[in-house]
Amino acid sequence: MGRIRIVTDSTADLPSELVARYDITVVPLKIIFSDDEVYRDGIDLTLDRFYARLAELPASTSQPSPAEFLEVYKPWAEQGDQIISIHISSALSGTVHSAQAARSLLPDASIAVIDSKGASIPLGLAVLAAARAARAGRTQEEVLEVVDTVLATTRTYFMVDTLEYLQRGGRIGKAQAFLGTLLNIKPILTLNDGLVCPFEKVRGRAKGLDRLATLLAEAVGDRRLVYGIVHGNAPGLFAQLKTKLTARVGFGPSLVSRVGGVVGTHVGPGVVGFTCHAAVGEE
Amino acid sequence: MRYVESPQLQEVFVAGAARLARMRKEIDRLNVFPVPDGDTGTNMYMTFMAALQGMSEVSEESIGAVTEAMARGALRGARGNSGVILSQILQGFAAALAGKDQAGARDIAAALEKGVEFAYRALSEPVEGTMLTVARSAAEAARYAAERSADLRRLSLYTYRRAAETLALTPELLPVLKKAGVVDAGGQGFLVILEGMLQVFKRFRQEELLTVPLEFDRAETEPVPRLENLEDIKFLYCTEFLLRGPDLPAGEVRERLHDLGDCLMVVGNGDTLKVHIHSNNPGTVLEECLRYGTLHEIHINNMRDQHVEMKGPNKPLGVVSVVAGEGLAKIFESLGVDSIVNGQQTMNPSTEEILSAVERTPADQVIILPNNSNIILAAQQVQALSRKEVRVLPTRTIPQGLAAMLAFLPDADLQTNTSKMEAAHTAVLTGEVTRAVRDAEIDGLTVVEGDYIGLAEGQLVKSGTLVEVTENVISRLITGGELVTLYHGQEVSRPEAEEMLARFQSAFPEVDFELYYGGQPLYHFIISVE
Repeated sequence: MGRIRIVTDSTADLPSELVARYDITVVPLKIIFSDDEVYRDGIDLTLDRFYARLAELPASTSQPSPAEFLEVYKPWAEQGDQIISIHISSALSGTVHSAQAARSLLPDASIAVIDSKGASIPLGLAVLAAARAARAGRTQEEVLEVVDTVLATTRTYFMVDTLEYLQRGGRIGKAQAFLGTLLNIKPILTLNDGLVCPFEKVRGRAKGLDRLATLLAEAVGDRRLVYGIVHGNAPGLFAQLKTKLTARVGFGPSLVSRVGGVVGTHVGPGVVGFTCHAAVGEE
Repeated sequence: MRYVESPQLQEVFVAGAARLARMRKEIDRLNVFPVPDGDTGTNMYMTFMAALQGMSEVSEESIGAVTEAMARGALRGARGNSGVILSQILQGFAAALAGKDQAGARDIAAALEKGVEFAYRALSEPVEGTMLTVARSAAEAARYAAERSADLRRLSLYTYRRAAETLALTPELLPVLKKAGVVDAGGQGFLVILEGMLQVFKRFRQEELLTVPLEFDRAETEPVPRLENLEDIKFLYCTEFLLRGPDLPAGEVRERLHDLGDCLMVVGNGDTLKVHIHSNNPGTVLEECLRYGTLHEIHINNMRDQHVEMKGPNKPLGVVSVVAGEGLAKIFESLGVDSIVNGQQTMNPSTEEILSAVERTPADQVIILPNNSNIILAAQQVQALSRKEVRVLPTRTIPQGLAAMLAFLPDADLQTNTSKMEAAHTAVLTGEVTRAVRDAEIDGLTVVEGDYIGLAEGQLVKSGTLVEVTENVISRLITGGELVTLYHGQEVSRPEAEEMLARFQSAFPEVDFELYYGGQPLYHFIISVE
């Protein structure tokens, strides 16, 4: 029996040192500024350059092709490795379909393609949990169980500066268009069954951070949880979030990350938020 | 034409790509499923171009080698869901033609079938009403045509027509399309490719045959225009059915039905025609067609009834708010209020006015925000008078109303909203600054008519200048760390308001301030603390 290989896509927003440490394979989505200006997410463009460009020009994104997954899967499939491929919500991107298409071309291989129903750190935390379980010598079945547990208990809340990016990319209903147009209102959003859903509106960022802290504290209660925090291009706000959340629940985040190009295209640079899930064995 | 070899097939595919290139932006605009990101046309175009590029890199001439190279290119360049599906169709297409030098009608039909099979297999949850459905019906049509004739042009034409008909049906299969009033974007993209291909075959002969499916395409795929008036309906019954019989003369049928109504379509070929007409005499339409064959799948609908259904409430939950002041009205609207009732302090709106606002709100369930304690009763009367389900949220002040709107979730149900809005509006504190309208002594404070007076949560605050009173009101309401929002009335100019704001900011550095134009009469400032 071969090794267990963990594959994800660039929307997992995992820091490169974790990707290297846990031997995770990241298939990039693409960021498209025009027909002639296409970047592989997380490879061709630094985050700072991406956000600078996004401020100049709206972007769109595109899922990896089935061939890109096939290239990753095939050599491992041929040497009998087992592949666990965890990806961005199918309600937000067709990446899972590309992965499934590639899997269907390798009918004899052991490939589990999982729709995480999340993007950014909810996906990233699930991938990390899987990679840790695999590293700890779990079987493929056990790793999949870990992923199931993580995904089933994942809660994600984030605040954006404006809904403009989500609307442009069609990732949120048009009914929300009125939000915060006159008052200084910041939407707090959540992920619900793979979709971005409005959760609450708050007056201003400071109240938003307080609300996020309260939401995390409520989620923790007396349970054993781990959480991760993330921002786009808002380091000052992010530092405040980190301080607030840590103070409120009494322990720090186990993942600190930045929203990459693809997710950033759809939420905008002002995003900050957290994801938490039930602690599993290795955490 | 009975066989294609690789040069012709390449030409056919290039024509498909060219057509797609021209139409891609229009296809982008149709995109609503699965993610309405408006790039289906572009993704399909990019994928198809990658396929053509793959094709150009192969040196071998056989049709098997060329399609295999094309499929490889598509797999490499697939973009978007629609691109992935397209690449799968090409995979299957190539698999079926592997090793062949040329392809006839049966080969092409088999290749299309294989393509559809691949596409369905690749998706864990294939959704009908998408490109998949259009491609499947195209493959079925190709099979049907290939069984009857070896002519590839005919196969292409028949396939195109069936695909166009199926595309027109996609809104029936996928509610999200119907809601948006569009056909499936991926399906349209697939049809456009077939159309481009058909153009090549078309060069050979009988161009006139094309006009029928194109007409069908146009009439059925454009969003149905929303009728404004019932009087606009001249012909009441939308009548649709299939007519089956040997060698049906479509032109003759069309002529016979022409004077019986409007929006007439008679499409199809050979032994099946689809008939669609709006008529006041559906019986006569059916009788006329019985001369030619048998009737199937008959649908007759009264369009006036359908129209009423269409005109009905288009969202579940609406909000009516009583507001004085244009600035505040705009702010309420920006938060999602549907109808504003103008509420001057001295002339409260009648139940009638509130009722009419409720009635014109396009929703079955309506929440009313009175925003004034004197209006709550009048608003509650509306509950008994309206046929809609009406809830009055007893907001007593403008800040309470705004706080309630902040908690409003347009997609959540009435119960959830009322409880969330209730909790939100009681969590905000209200301050008001106005002038006394008469001499009075309240709570041990003496006020003289014309004095500025403040109210902090209804409690009188001692008089003084406008800025002093306002500052006193603020200091009564805050404990530190809150957000204080000032809405200045029509009697305070923007520069005056900003000057006062600067003073408050230095007097209360521990709170955040925001200033907006409320435009309300009588009240110089309305203040919310939250």
